[in-house]
Amino acid sequence: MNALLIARLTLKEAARKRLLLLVVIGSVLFLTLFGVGLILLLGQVRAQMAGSGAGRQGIAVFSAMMTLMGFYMLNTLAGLSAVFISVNAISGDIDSGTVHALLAHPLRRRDVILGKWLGYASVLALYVVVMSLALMAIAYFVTDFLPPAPLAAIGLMVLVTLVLLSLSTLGGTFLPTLANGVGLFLLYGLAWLGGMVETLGAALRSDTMVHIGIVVSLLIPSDVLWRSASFYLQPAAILAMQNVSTGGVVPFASATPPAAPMLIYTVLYTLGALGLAIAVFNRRDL
Amino acid sequence: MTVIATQQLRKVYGNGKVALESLSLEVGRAEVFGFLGPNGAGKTTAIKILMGLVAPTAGSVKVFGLPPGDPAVKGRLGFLPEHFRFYDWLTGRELLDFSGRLAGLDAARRRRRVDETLRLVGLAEAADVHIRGYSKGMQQRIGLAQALLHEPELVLLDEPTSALDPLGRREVRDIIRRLKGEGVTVFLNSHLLSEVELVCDEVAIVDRGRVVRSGPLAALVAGERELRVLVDHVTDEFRARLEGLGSVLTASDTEVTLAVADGEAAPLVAQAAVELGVQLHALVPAHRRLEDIFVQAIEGEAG
Ligand SMILES: Nc1ncnc2c1ncn2[C@@H]1O[C@H](COP(=O)(O)OP(=O)(O)OP(=O)(O)O)[C@@H](O)[C@H]1O
Ligand SMILES: [Mg+2]
Repeated sequence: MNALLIARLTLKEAARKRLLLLVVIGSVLFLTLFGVGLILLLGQVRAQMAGSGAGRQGIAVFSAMMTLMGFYMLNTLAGLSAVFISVNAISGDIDSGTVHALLAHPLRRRDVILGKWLGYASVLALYVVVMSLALMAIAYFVTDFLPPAPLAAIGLMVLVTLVLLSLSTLGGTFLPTLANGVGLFLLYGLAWLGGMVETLGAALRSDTMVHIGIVVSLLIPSDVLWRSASFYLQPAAILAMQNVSTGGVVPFASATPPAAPMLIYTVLYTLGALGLAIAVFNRRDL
Repeated sequence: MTVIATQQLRKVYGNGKVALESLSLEVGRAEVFGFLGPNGAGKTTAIKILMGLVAPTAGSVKVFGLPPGDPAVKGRLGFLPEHFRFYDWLTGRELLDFSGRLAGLDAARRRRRVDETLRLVGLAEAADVHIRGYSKGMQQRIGLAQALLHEPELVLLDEPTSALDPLGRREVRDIIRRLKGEGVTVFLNSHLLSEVELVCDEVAIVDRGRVVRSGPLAALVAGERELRVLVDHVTDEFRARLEGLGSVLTASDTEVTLAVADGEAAPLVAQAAVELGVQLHALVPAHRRLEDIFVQAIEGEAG
């Protein structure tokens, strides 16, 4: 109950602070650029492919690829936003002494952690859903392409932001804001790198590289989740292209559906990080 | 009835700093308890332990008979931290409303209490201004307001007047008196001794994490008297006699201030002056002020 009051306050804060305005402006800019870029590029591709027999098919593949790329950028944007809005959620309140006044009220320490997490999680989920729908609408309007299973993809992208949110919450309970932020960006970068290594490793048939990728994914599953999401965004034509035997590879996308154990792992990972955050926060002096 | 009880409370911070050596306190219902001490004595550490914000290294602590930090305990108390800070994008009224919600007040009572406490701390005019735009003193006032909003049985105040002007200090004093009248227990951290002297019933003086003096204020102040002795010249012999009658607080060529236990000393000093041929100009008895007791207690410790 009290956690919900904190969540409500967090939502209010997000709505009232300039930060959100910044995110909205940035996102509108991103969508506009995506739309305009798509129109321009599509015009060029149409002009080039006109006359060739494979024209229709080529344009379809191009549209799907561009949409996938748009989602890739959106996923990155959402991930960075998750870190950005929550990085000082706990440490900032500890530094300023706000926790003293907050915890003077009849609530438990875990209410503060859970409440803030819930508040930010709702903002992030809403952000990913709205932006994904906007992106899909623009892509459909310009190219007639619709991803095959957008809901699954959106769900997985929300999970990406929750993984990062939980990690940032955990870091905030024992690290100063700056250290937490630097650490999160390093991890996020590592995840991206791990994803690349794994994809390339699969293409080059290097078990070592694949294993490195998997270990990184276990450490920070944000990129493997994105790659799972990407599967649901690609039509059969692109999936077929991504055939290892032909050497075709889209470096930031996966041609196989997510494995159930991986999904279970990431959910446990997210909850585990959150639980650990509560445990650490419960034990520390404030 | 005991509201706060601690036994041999000890706190060593992570960096090895011993903030509290061994603190044993007992605060009864409707008492105004003054917790005094120099900077770094451990006052804030003690109050944080009472709030469950800091875990003691050893010893036991109970508030309302329960471990501190328990929501059931926190629902019955109000706390003004040393440096009150809250989300500064809220207005004063919104802050209090949020406080009231956390404390579980229903909408009607919340509205009534928000207005009442805003008026009580003199912020009615600034109620709808963002806290970001509050002065330091106004922040402390709104902090006091959120501590009193839900009409708690126990109020813990960590230097509540540190940022206030003289008028504000007087207002806080009146508020504390009023709380006492209503049967509220007040735990007051302070080093403003004149202030403590005016409102507290019980006092504990801490230094380097230990209680060096404690007891009812009246007894503490009454038990100690001071005797100013003005003479033409303080001879060694005369001084030696005075030292036998009480402890010398200050001494110069012509004046000695003695701390004495009771009123018996004055005639003995006069007698000594006569016997030793010292000319006595004046013999002035006075009650000792809390400040003197404080200084003596701390210096006695240091010495
Ligand atoms: N978080 C902390 N980590 C390490 N040492 C601390 C911490 N907080 C306080 N101390 C140390 O513990 C001692 C007691 O500090 P405390 O804040 O309780 O004193 P205080 O009596 O409230 O002083 P003041 O009158 O200046 O407010 C000090 O020596 C201080 O340096
Ligand atoms: Mg202090």
